[in-house]
Amino acid sequence: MDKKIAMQGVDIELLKQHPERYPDLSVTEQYTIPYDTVMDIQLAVLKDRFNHLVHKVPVLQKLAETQGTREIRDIHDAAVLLFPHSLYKSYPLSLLEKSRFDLLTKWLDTMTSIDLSGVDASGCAGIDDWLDVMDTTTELRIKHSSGTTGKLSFVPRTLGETEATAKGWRRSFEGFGDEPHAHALEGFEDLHVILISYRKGALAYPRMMDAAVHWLYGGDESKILASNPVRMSADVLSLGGRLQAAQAKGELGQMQVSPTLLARRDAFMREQAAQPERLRHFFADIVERFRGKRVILVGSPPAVYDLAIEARRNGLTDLFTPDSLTMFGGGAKGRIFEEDYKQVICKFVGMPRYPLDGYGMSEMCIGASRMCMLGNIHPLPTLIPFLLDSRSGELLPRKGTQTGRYGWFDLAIKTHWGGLLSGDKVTMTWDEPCACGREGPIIHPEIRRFSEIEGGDDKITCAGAMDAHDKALDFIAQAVG
Amino acid sequence: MTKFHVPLIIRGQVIEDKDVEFAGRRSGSGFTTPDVKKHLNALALTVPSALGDLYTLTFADIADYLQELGDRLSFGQNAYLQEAYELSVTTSGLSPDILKGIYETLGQGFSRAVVHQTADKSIGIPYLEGWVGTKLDTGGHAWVRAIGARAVHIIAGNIPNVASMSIMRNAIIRSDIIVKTPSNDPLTATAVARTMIDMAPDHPITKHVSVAYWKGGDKEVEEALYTPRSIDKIVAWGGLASIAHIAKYIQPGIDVITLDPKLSSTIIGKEAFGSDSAMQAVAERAAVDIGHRNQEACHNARVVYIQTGTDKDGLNKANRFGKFLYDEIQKLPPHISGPAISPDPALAEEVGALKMSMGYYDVIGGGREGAVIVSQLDEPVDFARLLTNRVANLVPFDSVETPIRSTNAYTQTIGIYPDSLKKELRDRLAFHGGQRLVSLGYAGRFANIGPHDGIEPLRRMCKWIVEEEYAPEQVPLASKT
Repeated sequence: MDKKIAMQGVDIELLKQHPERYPDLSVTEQYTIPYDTVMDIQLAVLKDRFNHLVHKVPVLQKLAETQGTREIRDIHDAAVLLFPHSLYKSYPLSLLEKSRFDLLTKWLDTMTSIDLSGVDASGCAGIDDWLDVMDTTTELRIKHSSGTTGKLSFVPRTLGETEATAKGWRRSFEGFGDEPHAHALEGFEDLHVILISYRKGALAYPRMMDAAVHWLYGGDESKILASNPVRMSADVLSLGGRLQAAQAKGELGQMQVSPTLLARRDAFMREQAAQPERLRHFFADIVERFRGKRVILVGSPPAVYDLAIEARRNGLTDLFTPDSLTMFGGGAKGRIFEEDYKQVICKFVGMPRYPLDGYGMSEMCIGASRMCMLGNIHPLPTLIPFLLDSRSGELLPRKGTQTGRYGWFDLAIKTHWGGLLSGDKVTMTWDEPCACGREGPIIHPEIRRFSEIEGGDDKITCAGAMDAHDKALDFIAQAVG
Repeated sequence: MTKFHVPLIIRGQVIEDKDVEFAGRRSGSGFTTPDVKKHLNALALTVPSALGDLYTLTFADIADYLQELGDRLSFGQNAYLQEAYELSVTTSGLSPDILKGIYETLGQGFSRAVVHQTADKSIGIPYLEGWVGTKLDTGGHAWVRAIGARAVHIIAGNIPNVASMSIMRNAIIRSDIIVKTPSNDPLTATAVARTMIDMAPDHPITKHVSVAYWKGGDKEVEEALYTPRSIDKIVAWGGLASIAHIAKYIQPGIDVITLDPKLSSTIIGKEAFGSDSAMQAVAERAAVDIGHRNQEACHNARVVYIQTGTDKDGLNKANRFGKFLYDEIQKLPPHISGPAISPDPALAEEVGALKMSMGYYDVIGGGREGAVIVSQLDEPVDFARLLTNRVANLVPFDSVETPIRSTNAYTQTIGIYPDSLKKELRDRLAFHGGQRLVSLGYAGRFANIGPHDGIEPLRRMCKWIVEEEYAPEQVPLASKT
């Protein structure tokens, strides 16, 4: 591959001003930029973001004051400004339980440069309601987590920022250089998305589909066919998390369902009752319309696996073309698979190989980057990676091979602080480029959560979210109204 | 790192084999120990009448024995205790200073005064010594005696005293104890038992103490042991996980006594906030309840309700009191309390997030030295269960209804100031589930007169036998009435 040719379409000055335009570049172009240049861009954007946001995002101002940070001179300076991911759920849970969405809005207002002072959320009865008000009256498109112990984190993303999310998602299918999937995006715009998940709601998958419909498909909702076209309710998900936590502690008997949820009980029950029929319909639909065609298949491994088993039972295998695009993110945690689950899924789709794993987090604006063919993970140039000593919290040297707590700054985030400290234990090699040809540091594929290492993890992963949601619906069904 | 060896002790016999190896908790030292499976026949006391030898002793004999044992458990002279200390230093959440303080006073728990008070107030020495008669108002006579039982004690490892106290209690009630030790403290109970063997190898009390480590949930061991053929009682410390293991063995003939993990709290009335000097004095008392043994015990205060009021003036007072309290916690002497040895990362992250967040919490401190989180609403933090490492949560309130309603079956100790408020609230706190009400500052001091966690475990550990006597002249036979 000729690097000069690959670099021809790259405008460094533009990227310094508009790093969210990175996904306009091919994966090959993005990873061909010399890493010194990548870091120059990163520092320039970091400085801009800090200078702009430090006076507009109160929590950033507070942290910068505590740390004595007045300006960013070097990438290192941002290491003390990484937010713990729990900051996005640092509100009292009682605000949800008592429907104090006015106060929740005030809390969120300290996290974003978007002015929320004019938002009237006092009438919101539940989280779903509140998310709807924010969607319709502000630029925010809040993304929530699947939740630990029922407490959802709320990340104040904007509609504008999701343009990069949509484009980044599209790029995530593409390979680098002369990798076999280097040209995977040819014909992308004509493909339909088959989503094995809820279509609506504010969890990562539905929000990503919202972004795709808005920014890639010109608002054409018919591009997406979802196994569950209804909403994954944040209220139900929150209850599901609390149920799971209570069960783990043996306190299930103390759980109560809020009047707000009870009031919606009948509607939930109707939706739940209709799901088997919807699923049959969905199945018939994909067989009839998309059998033998190239599609984009998106879903968490447990959801896709369940569908694959169902298909196999009906004698349906090799449903799509081998060059179909697939994204099975969200992890398998919380679910023990049969050992051959990857083969089962491949046979279902009709693809020769299970897709390469990726590594990303839902708090990122431009999410996952896939492994290279050699099994290494390459942070996107839009992400500034940091490794912190897991005990002292000090920044580890950005050289050699280091293991620590992974943090990152996402250049594509403009309206809230893009720096976040994850709970992941990561090993990185900074200065030995990968034989795959990509520039920059590499993340080794063995990634673990600190909470798992310490023992015990009640986090419901994305993969477990549907399960928690369904269990909560059962619980509501049994609750005496 | 030193590898420890933990012998298996079966009724006076020390088995030193090194069959199996276990990893210690908190990445502390691992240890080798005999395989309990090879000794199951000896470990189970299948002949209940073997308890008979304990009945050749008088209570005075038992008290003499325990007093001498206490003298021999002098830390400076006792190599077994020193080894237990050395292992604990590597696995415990307590600092070496605190641990040393505990081991240095461990023998005091066997003193004549403690033994006499425990036996007499918890059960009544006459019931242990013989048959206590009573003339029945309805005619006839009856005699009652507390008889020993065969018990497995699954003990907790947070504080070494649990091991010594269990052995002391067992001697008082003339029972046969098998101590199942925890992986983070396998040597304290062993040290006490070995001291007994050195002191009086053939004494009946020595011959009714066994100490073993096996991995909790080991089916082969537990199926052999947890049957009415082998034991009468299971005394289980520890939470849901421990109970879940033994639940499947519960059957008629086995009495399970659970001593669950509890949380404790504090209520401080408005009298404390009249002046700076009053606040200071009360903060000094509260600091002891919070910091004692680094908040590792059930009795430690975690959430502290303060009647400052919740208006602006009240919150100012609360925040001011928080500073006094933080300073007083820092002043605690090192054998009582000190900076965290291995901070809980989950807690550290929550505290870190609140420190950055705005509006609902004021956080003083936050490092290894501990923290005081002052809620700005009248509610505890959502992670109140995680509070340890000298992190307290002050919750301001207006009406005593707030702390009363927060009390539940998981509340063990409630430290209260002033004592008049304790008298005023005691009935209602008891109705709500509170189990021990104590003057502020004395949560770590125990009366040892019977009640513990809302039950009387010593009485439960005995078998209560009744002998009745009727004569037809005084009480006609049923057939004659």
